[in-house]
Amino acid sequence: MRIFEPHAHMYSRITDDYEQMALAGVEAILEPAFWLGQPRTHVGTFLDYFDALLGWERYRAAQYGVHHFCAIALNPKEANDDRVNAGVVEAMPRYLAKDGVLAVGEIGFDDMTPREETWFGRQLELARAHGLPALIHTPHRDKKRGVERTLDLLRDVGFPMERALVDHNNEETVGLCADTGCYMGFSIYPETKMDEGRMVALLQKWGTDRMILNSACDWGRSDPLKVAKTALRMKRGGFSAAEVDKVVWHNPIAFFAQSGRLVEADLDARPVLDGELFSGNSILRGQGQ
Amino acid sequence: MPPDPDRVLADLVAARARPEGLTWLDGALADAAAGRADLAAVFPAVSRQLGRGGLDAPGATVTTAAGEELSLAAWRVDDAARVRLLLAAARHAPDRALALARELYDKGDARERAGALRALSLLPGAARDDAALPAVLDALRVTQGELFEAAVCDSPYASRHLPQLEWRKAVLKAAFIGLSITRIARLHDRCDAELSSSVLDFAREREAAGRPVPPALWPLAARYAPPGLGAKLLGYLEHPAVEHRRAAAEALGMMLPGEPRLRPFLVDHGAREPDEHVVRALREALAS
Ligand SMILES: [Zn+2]
Repeated sequence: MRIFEPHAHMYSRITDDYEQMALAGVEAILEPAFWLGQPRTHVGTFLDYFDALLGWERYRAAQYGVHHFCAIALNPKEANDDRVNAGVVEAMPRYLAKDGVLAVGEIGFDDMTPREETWFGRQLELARAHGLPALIHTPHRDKKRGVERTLDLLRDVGFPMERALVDHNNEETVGLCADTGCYMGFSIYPETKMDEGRMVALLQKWGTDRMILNSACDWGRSDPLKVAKTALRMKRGGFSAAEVDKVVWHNPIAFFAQSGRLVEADLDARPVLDGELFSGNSILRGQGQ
Repeated sequence: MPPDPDRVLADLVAARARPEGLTWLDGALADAAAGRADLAAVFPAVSRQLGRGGLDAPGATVTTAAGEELSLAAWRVDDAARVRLLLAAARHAPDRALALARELYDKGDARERAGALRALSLLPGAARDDAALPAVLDALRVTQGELFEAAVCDSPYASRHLPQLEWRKAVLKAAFIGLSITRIARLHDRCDAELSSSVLDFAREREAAGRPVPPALWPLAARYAPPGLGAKLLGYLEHPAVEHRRAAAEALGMMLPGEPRLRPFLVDHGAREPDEHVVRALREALAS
């Protein structure tokens, strides 16, 4: 079983997690940009963070044979902060041009404020201008209304639904998304949001089309192996190996391949490990090493 | 007269990239040479357009304006394409070429940064303009070995402009992470007593840990040889690995003028040495 983990905040995890994920079958990770636990007060700290997603995290992942991609965005929480919001979005285009950036995200609503709506809309425009899909966070509180407003905004601005991944769904919201054509993300958490058993029940009820699982692991109590654990539960629940593959590998690839920067065949090769030269070439390495 | 570096790189890229990518590159090169292109917007797309694989040219070299020969063995296709773009932009604005490379390093991801670093020795003003030195210094601090390698190895620019302290640290780090220090330009010209003793300490640490020692360290250690090094190197002259014997012979040759009593041991070993490279190294050592 090969796993494409489409939402993991590895910046907040230790390197052992990369190893554990690789052992569990994770071959590719997409890391969306989010907040860092407390508000940032400078645009520059965002840019250093984006650089870390593109450089350091890719390097850490490659050491375990894991391909690392990212999504870049001003997150919904800090969209409310006038110290940083405009400056970050102004700096985004040069990141959205980078190879490893497969989407704009996480964008969306958190408290559903006017500022969140403004920057959500502006970043959807950026996504469209750069030919990138959008990874969309939905609120933890008042989730149902948050998802409704998200879908309304996508319709209002005419963003192609199949290029939107509406994340953090639950039993209450999946019905809202199912007929719209958007991809539906589910964050499997140890305590909150969604667990493995409920997820399998949802898949049994709604099918596997455009369904995407993630661990959304971050600093909070979370588990980077949740996708693997849910896949196991799917098998026990009667899903075929092909259906499991579809949900944990093919669906996220199909979604992010819309960026034009992800080719499934490239995932078969080991990621280029920065620092690993052309091994076996003794011209490059110290002799006798 | 060595061939123009851009010509060499153009042929190597053409042999590796897809036709559509090459068409794209031709357009970007024309724009850059005419001063019409913002390379910061062009650089990110280079790997997508031309690929990221090795140039596969282990013996290929280019020659800098100062006449230094620079190996392309470690270069990737996108490195070569980015260097071509910087060379094109330099035709339009030669005085800004190194500053532009630094700017592209600052804004780039790892592949873009490697490309900018590899260009430095070939850009106009490389021998006198240290405008891109901050990029080299930044790359020396990162963990990504590929950036460190692009900054320091096969780079006359780095060896010319790095301050002595930073340059010494770079040589040691190269040895430490397993890069061949022979790829560092002006290695023996710039080696001072402190570096010489540091590499010997590093070699002893490796020996104590039972880990392999890079043979290229011996000639550097011999440059400011402490008491007892001669005996140690005579031991390495009996080492099973040819590279150790050859490096020990070279190092002992450097020590002979100061320690003539080593001579009979070299003569004696020369009579028994099976490898022609080591024999030649011994002959050169004894001639000095
Ligand atoms: Zn998240």
